[in-house]
This record gives sequence, structure tokens and C-alpha cells, in this order.
Amino acid sequence: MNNKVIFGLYVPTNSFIHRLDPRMKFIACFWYVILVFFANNVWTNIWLGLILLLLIHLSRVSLKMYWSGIRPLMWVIIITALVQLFFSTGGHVYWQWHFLSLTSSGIIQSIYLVLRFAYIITISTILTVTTPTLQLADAVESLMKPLKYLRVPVNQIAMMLSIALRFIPTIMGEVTTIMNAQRARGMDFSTGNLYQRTRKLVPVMIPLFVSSFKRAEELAVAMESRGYNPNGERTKYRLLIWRRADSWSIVALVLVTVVLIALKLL
Amino acid sequence: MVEPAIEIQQLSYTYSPGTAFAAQALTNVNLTIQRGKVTAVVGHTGSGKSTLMQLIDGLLKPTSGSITVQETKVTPDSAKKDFAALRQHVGFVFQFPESQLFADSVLEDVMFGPLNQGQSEENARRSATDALDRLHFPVELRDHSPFELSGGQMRRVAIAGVLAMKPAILILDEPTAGLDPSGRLELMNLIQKLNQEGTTIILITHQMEQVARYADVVVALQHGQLVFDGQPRSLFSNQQLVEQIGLAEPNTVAFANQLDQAGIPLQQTPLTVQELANEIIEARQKGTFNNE
Repeated sequence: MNNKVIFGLYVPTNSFIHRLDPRMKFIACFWYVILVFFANNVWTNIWLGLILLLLIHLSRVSLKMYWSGIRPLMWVIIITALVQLFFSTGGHVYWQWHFLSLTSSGIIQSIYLVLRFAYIITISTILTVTTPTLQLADAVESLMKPLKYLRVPVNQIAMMLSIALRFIPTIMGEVTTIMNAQRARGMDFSTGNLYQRTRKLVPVMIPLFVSSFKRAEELAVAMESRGYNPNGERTKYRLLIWRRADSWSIVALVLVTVVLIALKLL
Repeated sequence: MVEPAIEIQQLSYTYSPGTAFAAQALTNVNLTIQRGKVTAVVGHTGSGKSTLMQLIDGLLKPTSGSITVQETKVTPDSAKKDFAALRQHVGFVFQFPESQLFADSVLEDVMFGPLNQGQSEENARRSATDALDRLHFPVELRDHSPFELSGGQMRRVAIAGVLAMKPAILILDEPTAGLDPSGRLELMNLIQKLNQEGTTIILITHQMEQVARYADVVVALQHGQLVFDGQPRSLFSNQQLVEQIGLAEPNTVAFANQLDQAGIPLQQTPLTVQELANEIIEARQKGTFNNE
């Protein structure tokens, strides 16, 4: 009952997108999010939606996975859209009551808003389902390298990031085990009001914290005993290789941008 | 006449069905666990032992098939409260159970289970004290935080937390892992004593010595399928099967097998040192040793 698939978890289908350089994917994802904020008419939104559908198709991951990424945020999206719908002004007024009004531009703006949310969530999901977390950390490290000249401890930040990402599944598994152990001791997590349910987390959170601190300490000892030096020069086992496909992807990204600007000016 | 404590019929379980992570953990398991016996469950890591135990304790919902514990039967369509009912009969000591401790004091932690069962504060305290007494847990440490204790003491507190619920069936997942030899012996003696008092014991273990010494019945799993269900002696006398499942044979059995290879066959597979000694004496009297 506790083995739900975590949203956004890496799905190994070894598609074209999986094989791209994580740095490229990271930049492209970031760039796409910026483009989303430039889309302000029907055609630009359709264009970005088409690009997204193409990427989903190329990733060879089922649509269901992407939908399960949007679903938990559904309420946030709906509420934001409703606020946008009733509080914006301009255009033809259909209905008005005190400060609430339903206008043509409000309807259009809230549709764009929903699309914007959906696009941004989906593009980040594409990034995370096609890229193993450690590769993502490598990409971030690689992209942060210039910050070294500003004396930012890039190596340490990258190490912290990859350790954090590495232990998410471990901790998820541990939560399941501890919850099972407490359920075996007669705990029922699915009943009670909000206050009671919150209280029921105590027998889960305390053992979880205890073991997390213990593990952190053990990990630190294990790293030090193997000679880890935070300021040392690090080499990589998995090298990031920029291939021709990555360069072509950048070209494609530029084309997408050009078309978007053209559609915006139309 | 032995009655079944647990009846498992055509039980299958798949993790995350319908996703890229689907994994078949158990396939068509049929098994009867007899009341009042010690049943050892053996098999490689990932053979489905823990999944099977979690299903028996109502922590997982079967993908197909049914489980009957005492009078409660669950199937894939059963309601939540039926699974909770399973847990009323079954106590489950998880692997490294000391990692589930959370309360401010030892006594409070042990009282957690009985209180969840709906016992009054007073009764829960009595159940907890009884359970701690059984494990010879020092009285002066019972007000201390469980996190101040040594590993072995924490293990005993955690086991007391399950015993305090007075389960009719007790599942123990490698209870002696990480304990020192005397702690191990003490715990196994306690388990034996609980069994003599009528508790049905299911013991997951990798220690074949424990299987030989304590188990009435042994159940072996491999790749999620039941590959053996019978007496320890008949498992260990089948050298080929033991090897195929990937188990180590107990020392006494290994000794007997070497004697056999040296041309000195014994009457039956010895499970204890005493049995082995008797067998050797018998073999000598028969004169099988003389051709050396």
C-alpha cells in the first residue's frame, strides 16, 4: 500500500532524450521555462505545447507518468486560475459583483496561466524522468564551475547535492519500513482528524531523524577514512560528454525560440 | 491434532503493478502454518520472505489469492479493517527493530502497542512490565530514554514492544542479527519458551544452525516461489536441494556429509551435536569404521 511511484522519478527507457548530455537538458529546460513566460497569445502557446508533445513522445515515457506529476498540484493551479479569472479586468465584461468580475481577458489570461503551469511542470518532469539524479548533480556542478572564481565552494555544494539526491530513495524506503513497523504495533495512520493524524507522525519522524543523523555520521566517517578532503581537486568517474546530438539540440532550441518570436510578432 | 494457524492459498504479490517498476515478489504460494509450532522461513535475500511476512501481517494487500489467519480471511478485495484484524493476531518483530523506538522512556515505548490495541493505561502498563520482565530487562533502566541504551538493550525493548501485545502468532525477521553470541542464545531460548507456552512462531533466518535446532517446520522460498515445506531433517538430508536453494548446511550436516563421502554413511541426518555423536557411536558399533 506504500509503494506508490514517486512523481518525477527516473524512468529508464534509454530514449534519444535519455542519452543527451545532462548539461544540455538542464539548460534547455531552463530556457523553455523562460520561453513559457514570453508566450502570450494563442499561437505561441500552441507552438510550445506542440514542442512539449514532441519531447514527451521522444522520451518514450508514458503520458500517465507526466499526468501523475501534474495531479498533486492540480488544486494550486485551479485556485490560482480562479483568482486570475475573477480579479482581472479588461475586455468585455460578462458578469460583475462588487469587486468580482468575469471578463473576456480574464478568461483568456486564466487559460494561459493554467497552460503555463502545466508546461513548466511537464518540462521539469521530462528532465527528471530522463536523467538519473546523479547525472543531474554532475550537470549542476559542471554549470556552476565559473562560480569557483568567486570563491564559491562548488565542489562541496555538488557533493552535498549528490548525497542529498542519493539518499532520497533510501529515506523513502525507511519511511515505509518504520510506518509498517508502527502499523504492526497497532497504529492506524488513516483515521482521525488533522490534529490526531499529525500527532501520529511522531512515532515515524523520531526514528527517521535518529537514523538519518546516525547515517550522516557513519557516512562522514566512511568518507574521511577513505581520505575525502573537501578542498581537494576532484576527478570524475562518469565524464559528461558533449556529443553532436547535443549541439544539434541547441540548434533546435534556437529555432524554437526564433519561431516563437515570429509567432509573437504576428 | 495440529490445526492451521495460517492458511495461504494461491497467493501472489506484485510491487508497483502497471508501472515501469513492477516486480513480481511472490508467485502462487500455497502454505499452511501450523498452530503452536516453530516455522523457519529460509531463502536468499530477495526471495520474497519479507513480502510474505508483511502479507501475513496485513501490511500489504495481496495481488491475488487469499490469507486466512485464525478466523480472519483477506483477499485483494478485503476492506482496510480486515487487514487491521490480521494484525490483532499477529505480532511482527521487524529486522533491526530497535530502529522503530521513539518514545521518551522505555516503558512508554513498550506501552505503545497495547495502548493502540485499546487497553487502558493501567493494563497497558502491566502488559509492558510483564513483557520487559520476560526479557530480563533491568528495572532501573525502564524510565530512561531508549536512545541511551546499548544496541542489545534497544533490541530487547523493541521485542518487548511487540510481546506486550500478546500476539497468538509471532513473526521474527532475523531477530538475532547483530547480537553477540550470548545475546543470541538468550533470545532463542526466549523464543523457544514463548513457543512452549503456545505462541506460534514464524522465524525468518539465515542461520541454518537455528533452523536445525529450533524449527519444527521449515519453509524455503526461491524467486518468490515455495520450493520446500517440511521438516528440517528432510530438507538437510537433500543435499542437492539445499545447494540449489543456495543455503548453507548446518555444521553437523556438513560433518555427516563428509563422513558419507569417506565411506561412512550415517543412519539419519544429524541436526544437533548430540545426534551426531549418537550416530557416530552407532556406526562404530556396526563396524562401518573398521574398513579404515
